[in-house]
Amino acid sequence: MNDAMRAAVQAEVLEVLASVLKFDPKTFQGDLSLAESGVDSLGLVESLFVIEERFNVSLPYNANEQDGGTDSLQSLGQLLDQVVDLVLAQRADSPAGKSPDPVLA
Amino acid sequence: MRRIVVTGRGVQSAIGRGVPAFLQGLQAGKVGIGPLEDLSIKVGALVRDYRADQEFSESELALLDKATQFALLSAREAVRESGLPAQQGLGPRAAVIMGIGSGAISTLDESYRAHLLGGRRLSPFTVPKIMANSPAAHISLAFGVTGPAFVVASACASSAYAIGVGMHLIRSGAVDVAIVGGTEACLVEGNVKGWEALRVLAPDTCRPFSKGRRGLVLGEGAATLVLESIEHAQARGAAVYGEMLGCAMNSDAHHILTPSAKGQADAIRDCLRDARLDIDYLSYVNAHGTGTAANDQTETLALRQALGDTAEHVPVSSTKSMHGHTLGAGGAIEVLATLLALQERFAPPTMNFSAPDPHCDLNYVPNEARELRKCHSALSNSFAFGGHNAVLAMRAAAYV
Repeated sequence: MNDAMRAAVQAEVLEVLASVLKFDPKTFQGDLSLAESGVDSLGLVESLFVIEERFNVSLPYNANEQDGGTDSLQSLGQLLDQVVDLVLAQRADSPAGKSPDPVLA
Repeated sequence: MRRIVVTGRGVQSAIGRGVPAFLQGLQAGKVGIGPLEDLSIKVGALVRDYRADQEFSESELALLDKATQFALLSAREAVRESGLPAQQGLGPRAAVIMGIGSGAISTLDESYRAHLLGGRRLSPFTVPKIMANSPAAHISLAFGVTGPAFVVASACASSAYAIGVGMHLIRSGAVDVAIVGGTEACLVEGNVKGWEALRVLAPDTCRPFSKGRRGLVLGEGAATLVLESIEHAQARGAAVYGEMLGCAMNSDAHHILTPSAKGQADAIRDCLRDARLDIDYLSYVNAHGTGTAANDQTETLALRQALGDTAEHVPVSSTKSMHGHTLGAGGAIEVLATLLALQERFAPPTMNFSAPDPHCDLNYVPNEARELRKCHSALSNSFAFGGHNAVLAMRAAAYV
């Protein structure tokens, strides 16, 4: 897997996150906490849903574990990394490498 | 104001079918939560030993969703215990008010499957089986209740609201008897997929107020109480199992899902006021205690705000750790647990409690039932999505 491919997927995921959470991808700061990014738990759950539908991945997130459980998400950067890893792994598994229709993008 | 007593009780739950088994479960800390085989979620609190065909005939079942079945069974037990002359019909001075959260969702699920996946015709009884008022309608039919009969829907506070509305109908003089309670049979695939998407379900078990809690666990069941004006109960020499002292119902108009400590604290204070209950007589609180991060922390704060110093020591437990979160049935099942706690002088435990959470710092009766030396009055909290809060106050029969 090369860096260019990773960067491309990252840009794709960031675009989806930005459109659901209504921020400008150019001003994205991955290290801000979810609260600092202005993301509430419902907004997060909604973006996870859109990401799962768009990229056909499954994100193991439980809204009760923001205090540091194994599935916890602390920042949007962490979410971005996790989704990119899953999408790359999923595309590596399917040689056609196509993503599903962007019905919710 | 007319005083209201409880003269009949019935229950179907994951920790026991019938009041004696349910009481035993509460005392022993029986956890009714277990793995689910046919559903995509990992755990739930099913009424595992329930077989519909052992309780109802085939022709009855054609008309009864599982939620209505549970409601009828708990109502039969409650009316039988009350000794009211149900064979003659309870008439126009009796009401039926039942709470339900999701409605007849297993029948809905089956109908969609049959029609959309199987291309089959639906039963001509689909509509009466699915209609939300079905549990109240069937109870009124079973016991000849010709006064008001309806269901109340306020999500997880539905049956607490139903009990409150029943109390108001008796207080106002509209009826003398109210069959009240709630029912839920929500463990079906179409519904649990929705809960899964909300990402609030625990994958392991329900650990209210505990560190490491991972969310709520859905449960099913029903509970019914027969409420009567004290004069009506005394005139017929009925046995009394507790007094309903007060109720409060509010909406916090805050958020569709996020709880509000202020809304909850207001409901607790309003209930104490309605009950004219001196806080020194408060011996136990049955918490809403869902086991989610948000609820348990918010409820702890609300109890502190409303109870002041009493919150430091009064036993507060969540029986959802045993019978699961039964949504529309929750308030009624928990009021019954609270009445039994007062009767048998014990605080039911909060099971599956692993370690204290710094944000939840009350006396939660972890993992083992405890004797209540002071045993006079108690509260039961029910807080719902939509911001609906209900709190009920009751007094032990010994002090009625």
